[in-house]
Amino acid sequence: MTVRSFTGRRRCNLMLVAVVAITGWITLQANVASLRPPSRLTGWCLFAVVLFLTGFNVRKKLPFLPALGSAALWMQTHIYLALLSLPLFLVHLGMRIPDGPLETSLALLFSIVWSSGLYGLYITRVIPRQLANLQREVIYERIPAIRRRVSERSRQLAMSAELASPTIAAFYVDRLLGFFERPRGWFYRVWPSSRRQRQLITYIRDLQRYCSPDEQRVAWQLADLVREKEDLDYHHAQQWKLKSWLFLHVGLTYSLILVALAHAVLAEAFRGF
Amino acid sequence: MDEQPVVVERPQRWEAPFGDQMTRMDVDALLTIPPFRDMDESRFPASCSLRDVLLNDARIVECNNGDILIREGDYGNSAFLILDGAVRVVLESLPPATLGRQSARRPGWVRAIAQIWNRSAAPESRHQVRQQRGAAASGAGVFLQDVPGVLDAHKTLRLQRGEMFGELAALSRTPRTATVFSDGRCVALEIRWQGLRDIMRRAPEFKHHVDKLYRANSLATHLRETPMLSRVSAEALPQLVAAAEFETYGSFDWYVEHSRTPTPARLASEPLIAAEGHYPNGLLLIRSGFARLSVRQGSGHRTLAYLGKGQHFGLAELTQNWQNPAGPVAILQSLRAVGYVDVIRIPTAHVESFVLPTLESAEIEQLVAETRRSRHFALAGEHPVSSNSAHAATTAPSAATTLPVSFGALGSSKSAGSERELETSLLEFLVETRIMNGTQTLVVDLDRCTRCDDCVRACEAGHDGNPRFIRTGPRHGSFMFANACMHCVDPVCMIGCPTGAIARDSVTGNVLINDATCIGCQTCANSCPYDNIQMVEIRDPKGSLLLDEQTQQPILKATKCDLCVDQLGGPACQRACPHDALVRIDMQNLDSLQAWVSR
Repeated sequence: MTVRSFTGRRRCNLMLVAVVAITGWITLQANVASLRPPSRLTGWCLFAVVLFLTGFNVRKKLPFLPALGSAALWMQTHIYLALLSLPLFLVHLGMRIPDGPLETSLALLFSIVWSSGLYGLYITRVIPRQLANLQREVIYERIPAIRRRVSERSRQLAMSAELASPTIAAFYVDRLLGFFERPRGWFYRVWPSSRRQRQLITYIRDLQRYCSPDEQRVAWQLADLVREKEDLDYHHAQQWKLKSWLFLHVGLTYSLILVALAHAVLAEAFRGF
Repeated sequence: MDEQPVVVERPQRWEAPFGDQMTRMDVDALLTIPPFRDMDESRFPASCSLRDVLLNDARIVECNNGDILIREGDYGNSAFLILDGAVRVVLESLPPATLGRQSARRPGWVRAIAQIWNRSAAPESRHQVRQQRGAAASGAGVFLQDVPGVLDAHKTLRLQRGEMFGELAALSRTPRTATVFSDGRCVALEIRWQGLRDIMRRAPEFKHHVDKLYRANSLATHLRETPMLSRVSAEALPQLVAAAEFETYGSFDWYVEHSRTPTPARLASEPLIAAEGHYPNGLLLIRSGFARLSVRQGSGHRTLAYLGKGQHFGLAELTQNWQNPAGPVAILQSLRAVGYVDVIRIPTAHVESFVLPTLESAEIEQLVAETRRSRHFALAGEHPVSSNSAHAATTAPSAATTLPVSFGALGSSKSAGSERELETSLLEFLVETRIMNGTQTLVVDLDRCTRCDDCVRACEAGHDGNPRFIRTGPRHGSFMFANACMHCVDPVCMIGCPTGAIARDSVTGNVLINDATCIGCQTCANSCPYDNIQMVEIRDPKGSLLLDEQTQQPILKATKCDLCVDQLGGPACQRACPHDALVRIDMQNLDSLQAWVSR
């Protein structure tokens, strides 16, 4: 098994991108020199590039055809081709702001899709590391069931007949019940923060002065459950972000293709000679 | 999907007998000849009588001159007893073409694409619950084209009536060590290993006989195949064979205790083969299984490496003592059995007389230098590992005191500059959890994994909508070893299978489950130390749950990763990951793991 370092691969890919960019530039200059409108060439190239980039989603649906190449190869091609598509897009625009509703919508869509791709590149590199720093690994679809178990466990601890502690029970109802029972808000999904967890742990620590040794033990067990719930919420928020970003990115791409197709048809129909 | 359950008869152990042609008359005849004649039938329970074992787990094989019964390198699940005629055991390797090797059958791309439309609507649906009688797979019937040519060109050993062969590979779950073909017309009784296991359990004299054969044959073959003994003269080799001792440490069903023993206590429970600081009284060759190499560190022991089949222990110390008898060294590391291990011990006197004089002077110098380095670093509190012995780890992270360690005999490069360092804690983790048993371990880099589940979807796409692994498992740092069958070097899941449904593929060696003959007893799932086998409730094509007519419980089948054996291109999971976060790695080649981990 040959393993290439990421640095080596990146270097190689950038060189390839440079070669493609130079070749493209030369081709474009030749096109201009021949007095043909460059926007036609760049437009069709851009459309082909967008179609090829969308092909990645098709490749994912055909994992049993090794001849298509690995998903990792497609991903690298997708990233670097997408990066190249921006200068191509700007050249196609002629470095001006488009006018007309169709062209404006198309330019906006392309910009949004391109930017979302860049954002996706960022979060797919950053979020996995953040999740790997947590102690436990959780599958997204199992989070609701695990959350329920944690919530149930916390309730059992706090309301234990054996302990019979009004202090713990009251504290649980006042401070912890909402945290364990209710889902985190939308703001947490977009911007997860451990502030709430730290706050609750501080409350638990403060509670110690009013507790017997048995109650203190239960209080620390509740603190462990708070951390566990926080990890689950964090996993949920970050994985949700990754999944919903992809959903948006792919969905917008199909809109982009439709509008681009409409633009291509009209451009060809009215291009003149 | 139809929700009404369907009641069916549950599959039983002997529904698919090993040989359809076996009759009770054949069994009666077998019971009149040794070794069966001497067995006490009353020792066998009514549910598994000797007659039933012979009727269902054995078959009579008739061969013509040149027919191949066993091919070297194949993974076989049966042993043979010669009833009439003779066979020849080829003592050297034959070319693959001579042996008529078949390559694995894969579907075409049209059938591969058609899967998209042919997918079942219900999960785990089956068109048949059991294997039809008469549909048992039989060998392809390969024969040697040129028997006289083979006999002229290669050394062979003739076995005659009453002798047994093939038991070694069948019982130890290892590849066949030699090719065996029929010498003239021959009739043999082929017993699949489940039957062999049941007979050995009830007939101690038979067990003793098989053990004796096991030791005698494996010893001679192993010594012959060991590289460092390749220069030993033909006259000296029999003396080594006579002097060598065959030792077994640990338990064949180690997995039972493994799951019960807490991780920190596992090293203490591992049988000690050789102790650090003791006199080196022989060269140890690992025949099968794994052994842990460790040194004392503080109040505990630090794992430096693990040794597998084909590797050795103690050569450096013996060489040093042979060169410098006035200043002998003790054993520099401890060796412990991980699970179980078969070891061959060649006494020191024989090593010095027959093996060491055949080594090149450069090799001797290197071995002596290693012991000097090891002793020097031991005094400094650091412990490098002998370069030719092991799957190795680093010592301390400090560059000033760390001796870079090159990897062992299994496929690693020893050229200058190729030395790599594997984190000690990762190595300890692999040995503690026994994950080093895997040849196709699924490792996920959680720093790169976006949890997109493309790998699971790819697996699902190749298995009729049913994924065969779970993206969860033991973790070390940011690396997760997922619950996907690792196709172990020592697949303990196979040990208790009553029907042979879980077995090694004869061509690839991968561990596969024959769904039609699986009776859902859960023995393999319970045996797997890594929880990589899942029991599933099966349905008919309409989606109705299938229930056992006697117990009214759902019928279960064992499922696991099969490396996409009937798909193009092998395991789809690795190809499906867009972020280079997933890989299938052979733990026998730690170079690969190290390269991947340090990308």
